[in-house]
Amino acid sequence: MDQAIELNLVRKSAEGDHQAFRQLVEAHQHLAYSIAFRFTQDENESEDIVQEAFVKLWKNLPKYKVEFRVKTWLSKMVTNLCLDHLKSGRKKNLVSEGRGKGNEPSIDEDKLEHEELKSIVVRLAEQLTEKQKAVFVLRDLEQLTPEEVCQALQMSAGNMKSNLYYARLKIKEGLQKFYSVKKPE
Amino acid sequence: MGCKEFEQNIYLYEELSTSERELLDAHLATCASCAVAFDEINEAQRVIKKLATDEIVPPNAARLTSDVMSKIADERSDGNSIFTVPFWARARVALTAVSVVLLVSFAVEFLRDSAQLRNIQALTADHWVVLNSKIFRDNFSQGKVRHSLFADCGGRFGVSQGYLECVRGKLK
Repeated sequence: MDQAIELNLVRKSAEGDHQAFRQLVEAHQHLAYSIAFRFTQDENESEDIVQEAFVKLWKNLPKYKVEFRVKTWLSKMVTNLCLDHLKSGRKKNLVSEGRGKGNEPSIDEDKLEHEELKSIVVRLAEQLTEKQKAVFVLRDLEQLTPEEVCQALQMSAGNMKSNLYYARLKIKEGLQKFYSVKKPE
Repeated sequence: MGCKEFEQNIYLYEELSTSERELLDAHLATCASCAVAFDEINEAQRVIKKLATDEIVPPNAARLTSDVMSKIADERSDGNSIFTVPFWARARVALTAVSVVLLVSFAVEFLRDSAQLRNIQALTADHWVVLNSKIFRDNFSQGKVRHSLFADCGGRFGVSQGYLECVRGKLK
């Protein structure tokens, strides 16, 4: 969404315009859901988190800072809610398959391997610390820029890089173990 | 710089500045073990990027939007309720109101007392005589009443047992 249009929608929403806010929701709910699902791996919990994040966004619109994009702001809210959710222990046992365009069951061997890999990465990500996981999800899976990740997580560039390094190291080691076990079969 | 200094940057190639990348590239060209580690992380990143392309979408986006909008509407109606005001804020308002009432009543009492004091201070010696006479008359008349009340008990010149019982009976 163009930044000027987005800013206009934010201003209107802050004045109580529901239609303007609906447009913001429609434009950003996919990102919010995607982040939430990558953390929770559960449809219902992800939807609850998305709703909560948008309600928070609505309440805080008067405090909106122009230098923040809605995408970054929303990513921050969703990530914080996900981390709270993980802390609260509401997390369900992994790993059920997520609902997504790439998640439909298939007999295609490549797709099966892809699903298996996805499941492995999700499990490996579960072993990361909260900060490492948040950085990994936003940077490597949601492909936010390093600056957006720093803004969303309110982290310095150095802190972000350090967390990303450990996250990638652990994921790489996990994948290597998986492949080394798999290869002899 | 040795391999140790480059270890972290090998994992952060895309996040490096141009000058950091140039330094790392130069090291990788001369260090076989770091080049192997670089290839390994690149392979892992390739797998992760593949997963990142999976589009994760809500099962029913239209329903999710309308759920969000209904929650927003609820928030608006809840926002009109006094109960959305935090408890501490309501308690503070209540305490302020009580304090104001107490202050006003203290002020009224103070003004009333000082007015009475001013009236008393304004009394002249004549007034005091009139006032003392009034007190004397009141006491005297009370004494008369008491005296006449016990007149039929007899024993005016001595206190007999019968007189005392009669007085006690009337006092009861």
